[in-house]
Amino acid sequence: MRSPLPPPKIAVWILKRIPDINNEFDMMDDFRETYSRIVTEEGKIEANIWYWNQVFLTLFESVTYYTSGSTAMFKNYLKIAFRNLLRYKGYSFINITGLVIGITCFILIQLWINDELSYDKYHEKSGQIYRIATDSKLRTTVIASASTPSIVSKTLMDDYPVVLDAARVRSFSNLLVAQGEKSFLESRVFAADNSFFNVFSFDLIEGSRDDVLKEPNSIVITQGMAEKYFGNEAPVGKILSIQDTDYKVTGIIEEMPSNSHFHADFIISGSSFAFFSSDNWWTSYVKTYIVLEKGYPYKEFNAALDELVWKYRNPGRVNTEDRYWKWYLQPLTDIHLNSHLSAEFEPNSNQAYVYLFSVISFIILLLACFNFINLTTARTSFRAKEISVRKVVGSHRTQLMNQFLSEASLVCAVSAIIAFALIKAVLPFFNNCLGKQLSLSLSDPMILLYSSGFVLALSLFSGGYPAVILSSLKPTVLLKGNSYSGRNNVLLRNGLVLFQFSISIILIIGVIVVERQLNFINNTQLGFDKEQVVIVRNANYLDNRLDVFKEELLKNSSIIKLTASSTVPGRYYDGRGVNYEPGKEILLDLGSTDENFLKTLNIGLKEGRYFSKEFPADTAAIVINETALRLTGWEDPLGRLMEVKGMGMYKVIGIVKDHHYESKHQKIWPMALLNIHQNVYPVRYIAIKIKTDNITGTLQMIEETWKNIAPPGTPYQYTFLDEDYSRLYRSEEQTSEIFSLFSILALVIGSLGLFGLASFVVEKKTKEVGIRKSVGANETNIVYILMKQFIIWPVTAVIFAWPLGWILMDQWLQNFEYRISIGFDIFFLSGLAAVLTAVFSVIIQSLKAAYKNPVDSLRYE
Amino acid sequence: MNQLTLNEEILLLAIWKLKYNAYPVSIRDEVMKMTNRNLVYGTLYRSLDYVQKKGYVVSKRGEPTAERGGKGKLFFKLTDSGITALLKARELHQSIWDDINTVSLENSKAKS
Repeated sequence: MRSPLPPPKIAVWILKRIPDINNEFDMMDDFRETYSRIVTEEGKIEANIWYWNQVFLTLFESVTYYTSGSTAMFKNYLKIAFRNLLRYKGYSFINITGLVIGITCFILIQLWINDELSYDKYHEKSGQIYRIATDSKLRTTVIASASTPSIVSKTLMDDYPVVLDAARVRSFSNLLVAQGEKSFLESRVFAADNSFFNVFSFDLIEGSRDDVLKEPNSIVITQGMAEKYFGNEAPVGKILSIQDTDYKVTGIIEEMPSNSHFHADFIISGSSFAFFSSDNWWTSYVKTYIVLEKGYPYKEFNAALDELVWKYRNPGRVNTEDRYWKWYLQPLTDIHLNSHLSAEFEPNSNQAYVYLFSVISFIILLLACFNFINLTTARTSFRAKEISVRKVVGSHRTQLMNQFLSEASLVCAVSAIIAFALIKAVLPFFNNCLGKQLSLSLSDPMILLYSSGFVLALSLFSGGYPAVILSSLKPTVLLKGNSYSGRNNVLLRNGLVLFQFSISIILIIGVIVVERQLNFINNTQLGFDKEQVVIVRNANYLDNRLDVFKEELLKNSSIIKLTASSTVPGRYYDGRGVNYEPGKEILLDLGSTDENFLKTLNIGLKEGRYFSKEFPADTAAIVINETALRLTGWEDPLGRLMEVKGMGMYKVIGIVKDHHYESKHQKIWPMALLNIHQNVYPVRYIAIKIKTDNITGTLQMIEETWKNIAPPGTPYQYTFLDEDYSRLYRSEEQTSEIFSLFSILALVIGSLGLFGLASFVVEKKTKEVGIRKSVGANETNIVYILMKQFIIWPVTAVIFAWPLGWILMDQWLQNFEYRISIGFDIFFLSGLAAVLTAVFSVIIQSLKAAYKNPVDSLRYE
Repeated sequence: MNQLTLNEEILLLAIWKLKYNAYPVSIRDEVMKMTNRNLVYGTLYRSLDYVQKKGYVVSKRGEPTAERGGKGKLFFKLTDSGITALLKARELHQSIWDDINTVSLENSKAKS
């Protein structure tokens, strides 16, 4: 009696696919019988569970049954696989090349991603460490900063027991470090609390964790610095002199790993500095890191930080939507990928890039696999005879599948080996470019395991479908010469090629847009002139000889103008709170300069005047920019007073035009300039505008003048302002370079695929071409007919690629405050590039076929 | 002839017990009853194939039935070779367990 309830259809379908053992057993019927019984005895659900269970286990059984053949069979497969590899040299080469490129890119990118995701995770307490950041809004001024006042740390430790530990860290820009005769300018000098080594897990080679930074004027240095300054001598106990202060070396650490969000070569004890013990809630900014109890939901702690603000910083003032001051926690491990605040120690990366490159790596690998699948299945007609003979002689279908799988595995294995060798060769260069320490060591058993698994998966993925198709063909069909032109197969082939082209087109669009955006950023109006400006650093060493230096230089005719200042565009401007009216505050980025600053850099003045020696009262003057003016809402700013917190009252004497003193990523924030003669900020830089002729001579002259005037031993350092400024975009430029590289690679793989397909199609059509030629078609006609097929693919691909590409690029451009628009010419160019690639790949084959003597073609009968 | 594995022994015994009604579904049920464990069809088929290759059983199609859509069920029967193998297995069991006192074996378990 037939059961009225059929077993689950999908399970049945799977079961049917399992080759019957010996073809004798009536598997379907037996299953159905038991199924019906269970349905009547226990119910449909139990029956379904039973059915699925049996299906999976039977599947497993038959897999083991078929793969547990003797090794003799395997050796045979490999031998034949190897022979075939050599027989079809051209195709094998294309396949292997494509796979090598795919695997290499994939692994390199994955290594990079792995590294990016691992930042700061090596600390023992990394899951409990948080940094306190500042988020504030005052009408339209927004502050997002990584710094907090130094007093926050102590208060948290005192008042909140859930805070187990805290450490403050601060960095200094270029300081002169000296030991005996040696003196160098160091840029990675930090200061930190004694708790630093309890919060972070840096290895102390010498020195005890608990008190290495306790005493004021102690310093911990890295191994590399120890060698640099002390050679072979033991540095502990010796003195390093920094900015005329002596520090005793109390400890040595290993170099900080590259996957950290900050890197310090020197760490001075915080107790050496007044601002570490400041009790001011609006100044003495440092980076504050705290350790919370394990498992504490850190977001809840933000409420405690709000309390802090309310109690101490802005007593009694409530945060509103328009105007608030918040401190909040950032998990340590989030910083590298997600934090883009001002005052970061180092520019951070972006999570988006991690996703992007991950996707790209898979796409490239996929493209290579698709090539393989396409080429292998397309070549069926060549293998037809071999397959049919084998079947007639008695091979099981599974044996044939194993054969083809072995061939795929061989290709994958060979490609993987070559790829690994390539990776090993390229890795040092790769590391150099990115400043990382990636490595792929094959002696690590885990890596070996993963790689083998990877190759296996790759073989199955690329080889699976062709194996199934090739082994399923009936001998009668094959021997007659009808090959692989079934409807489904052609659809798949076209689909794969379309996919490859779409990806390539999108990548081309991406590359063009990124290039243009970067150019735009570099070239649009900055609001000041950065060309031909030499920046001489360490001007603070000139002390009272500064004016002498300036005069000497001005005597030279190649010097157009110069100015002394505490900072220049592209460098650090000190952010401070400024009260412009009682109870009303804005944050201004401050720098201080002499009277010639605006003229040297050609920054425009909107109202009023700039500092001048003729007005001695100018030492208490301030010039604010247009954005700052807008925020104050003043209509008559000149003559008004502003109080810079911690520094005193200043009179507004002029309004400077908005200029990009920071990178063009950000919109222009409110800033102001003070008079250098007030001595609130030391003179750091002398910006010199020089003439364009004989730059080398001019540079030499400047250096000599420096050596004559500056105290002996002070290092002379200079840069060009435009170089400095473009360093801000280094990460974008690097990304765009990498992006372009991978796009080209994707295109190469696509072309390889097309090339292979083209050879195949052309060979297939040899007979047709021969016939056409003999009835009178000329070469051009033939070429036209052959090429027409291939041009259709890229043309169709644009339908998918253009909209997708536009969407993706528009998203990316949102990152920029000032952006280009994606013009139609970009789409046109990308389409053109794709078409040209297609043409280029197939043209040789087409021409060859067109010019072939019909006699030779028709001989293939 | 080689020794029967335990699974083969159970299978052959089940087939013998079922007399003229030994086809995969009933064989599976019988084996499950004997061992009190789930048996996967795939394993069963493979084992049947194997004992058939070894010559312990033969298979024969039965009469076509409506349930099976016109095909007959596949019945299995022990061959002489199979029967001999079973008897030998029984002999072996008996001889190796002959001089073992199961009570004292039970008592020699480690205390708690």
